[in-house]
Amino acid sequence: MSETSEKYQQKNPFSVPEGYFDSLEDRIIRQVSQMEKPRRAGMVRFLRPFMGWAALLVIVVLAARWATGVPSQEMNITDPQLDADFNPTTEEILEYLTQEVNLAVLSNEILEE
Amino acid sequence: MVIEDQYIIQLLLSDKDEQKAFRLLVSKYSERLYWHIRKIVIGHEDTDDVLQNTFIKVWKGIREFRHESRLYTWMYRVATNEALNFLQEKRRGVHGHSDEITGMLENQLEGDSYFAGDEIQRELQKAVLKLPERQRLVFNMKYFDNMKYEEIAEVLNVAVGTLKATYHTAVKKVEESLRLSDTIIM
Repeated sequence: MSETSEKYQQKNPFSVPEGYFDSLEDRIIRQVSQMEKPRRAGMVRFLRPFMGWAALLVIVVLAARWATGVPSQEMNITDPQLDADFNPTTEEILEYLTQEVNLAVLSNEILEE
Repeated sequence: MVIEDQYIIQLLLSDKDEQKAFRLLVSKYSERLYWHIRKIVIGHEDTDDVLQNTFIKVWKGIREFRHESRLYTWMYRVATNEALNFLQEKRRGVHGHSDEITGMLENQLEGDSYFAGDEIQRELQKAVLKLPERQRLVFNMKYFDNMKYEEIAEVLNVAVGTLKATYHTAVKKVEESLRLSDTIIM
C-alpha cells in the first residue's frame, strides 16, 4: 500500500472505555478461577494418538478375513457333520440311524423300569 | 521485564503455581488479543465477550498445548477461532447471508462510540470488512498487527507463499474500494 499507507499512518482507529485494560486482567482471572481446575493428562490422553491406528488395524483385519473368506471363530466347529470332506456312504447313514433308534428304545426301556 | 513463554508454560503445568502463571499469561497477551479480536468482530462489547471466552479456552486447553507452535501463535489461533465462531453464530441469525453480516458489521462501525479514527480510517475499515473472511484475517494481521508471514502461517496453518498471494489480492481490493469510496465522497 505505497500511496494509501501514508494516508493511514495511525493504524488503530479503535478505542476502549477508560480503565478497561486495568480491570480486564482481574475480571478474566475471577472468571477462570470459578471454573474447575484443568485436569492433568491421563491415560486416555496418552493413548489417544494410538487409538486411531488401533481402530484402523481392527478394520483391516476384519476386512481381510471377510475378503479371503476365512471362517470366524463361531463357525470353526470341528463337528464332522459340518466338514465338507465328510461324505458318508448310504450304508453308514443307515447304520447311524439304526443306532439312534436303538438308543431311543433303550431309553424307553429304562424309563419303564 | 519480559517474561518468557517457556517459564509461563512450566508454571502452568505445575500444580501449585498455575493461577499465578495464568495471571502472567493474561497480563502479557490480553491487550494484543483484544485488538486482534476487535478488528474481526468490530464492537467493543462483543470483543470483550470473545476475549473472555478465548482465555477460558486457553485455561482449559493449556495442558493440550503440544509445543508444535509457539504459545503466542497458539493463543492467536484460539482467539481467531473464537472470533470466527462468534461471527458464524451471528450469520446463522441472519439466515447465513455473508453480505448481511458485512452490512451488520459496517453499521456497528458507523455507530461505534469507541471509534477514535477519522472518516478516512472508517472508510479503510469498511473496505477491509468487504474482503472475504480469510483475506480480511491476513490483511489485519499483516497490515495492522505487523505480523511476519511465518507467524501468520503458524496461526492460520497456511503456506507462506499462499499468504503472500492472499495479502497481495487483499491490498488490491482494499485500494480499489477506497478509490471507489473517494469518488462517491467527492
